[in-house]
Amino acid sequence: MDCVNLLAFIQIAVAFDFGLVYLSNTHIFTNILDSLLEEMKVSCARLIKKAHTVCEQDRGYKGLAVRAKRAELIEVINNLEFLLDPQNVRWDKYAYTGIYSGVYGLLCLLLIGLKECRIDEFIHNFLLISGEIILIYQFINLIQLSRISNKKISVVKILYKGVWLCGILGLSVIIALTGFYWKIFQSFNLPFVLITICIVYFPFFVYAYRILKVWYTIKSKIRKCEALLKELENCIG
Amino acid sequence: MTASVKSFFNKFFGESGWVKENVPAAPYFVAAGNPVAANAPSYDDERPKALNMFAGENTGFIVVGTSMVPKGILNDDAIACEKIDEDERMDISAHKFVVVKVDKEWYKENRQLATFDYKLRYVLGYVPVNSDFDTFYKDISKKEDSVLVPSNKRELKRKYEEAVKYYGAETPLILSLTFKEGITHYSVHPVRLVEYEVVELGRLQSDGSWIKTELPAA
Repeated sequence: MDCVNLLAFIQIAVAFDFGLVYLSNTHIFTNILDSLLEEMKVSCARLIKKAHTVCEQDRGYKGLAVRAKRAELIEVINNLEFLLDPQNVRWDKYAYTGIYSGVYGLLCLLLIGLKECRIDEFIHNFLLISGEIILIYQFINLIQLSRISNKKISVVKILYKGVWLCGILGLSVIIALTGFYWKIFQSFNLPFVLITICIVYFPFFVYAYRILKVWYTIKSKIRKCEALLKELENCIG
Repeated sequence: MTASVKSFFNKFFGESGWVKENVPAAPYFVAAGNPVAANAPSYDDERPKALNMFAGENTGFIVVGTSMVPKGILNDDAIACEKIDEDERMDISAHKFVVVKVDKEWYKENRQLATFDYKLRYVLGYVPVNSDFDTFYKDISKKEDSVLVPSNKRELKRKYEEAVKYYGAETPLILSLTFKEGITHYSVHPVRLVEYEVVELGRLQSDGSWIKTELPAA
């Protein structure tokens, strides 16, 4: 397999990856999620309005079951309203996955273009070692995405991470030169293609997963809201 | 040993090095919700100029965060607050918005950095001194519907036990709430940390001007 064929795939992904660093509110990718939220907001506006009205009307009921159901419904509506508001969507932390993959993609573009990926044993080893390191970093990133808060992150801080990653890649150069490593893969082409595709398209998968997750979460909240509304209406007859 | 393991874990999986900005927020910003997770605005932020609209001796704050949206106070709102004196601290009524001083020692012990000095809370009531959770729950569930949701009851119990363990059963405590992504979160603070009561509200308009609006009703 000739690695040069990979170049086209990498080029597209690299543009997307670095785009994540500047994923501002006006970016085309954020607009996709915003449009989805706007559409869902319109579709469930009547339900939310009805739920608010029922909750307001039921204030007089003192029964424990009605109070508990109403409280649960209010909780679901509040959560739903939060999820439907595009202003609450932040993409800052996704920039890290973008910069890691972008840097690796760029490295591949340069080295594959330079050596056509065939001759140099050192470049083979370097690409594999750095790919494995970045893959580990991306998995740490994946854990982080669900753990850390939605604070704003400055572009300087993200770029600093990129520079820091270049330092780690420098370490890979030393490892590849000294031969002080344990070879996981005996061949080069297939593992390299798989690792590269995984890394450069990683931000895209994460981005697509987020959109799907948001859609699914909102849908399940709408279903829960409908069920609670029905139960509450049954409770008060 | 445990501390170093925790510190190592935080280096890779914690917020440090990822999103935490160690810049403290100016004292005229109040975090609606978690003072660790809220974004600390910079000192050259223009919004505090809006606080001039509140006349008198009241202290003004700009709200940062969306944790009070379900109760009607939005991100970027301006609030005017009246200082609560020592002798008024045990007379704070339920369903009032208050400004609580952040107990930075508590956050430090929990290995978190609170960048705000104050946080905004919605009061639910006092926690009886030298009591147990069941008695407290029985009392609060008569007045507050949200505690009837099973997941909220568990959260309330956890917060109650945490506060009683940290501050001691004899310390007068107050229960308040905030929202995280629209979901109810309870806080139990020592009464001595409640410093202001919110009395006025100002809201930023689309044309950039600020107008005073009604404080949301309970």
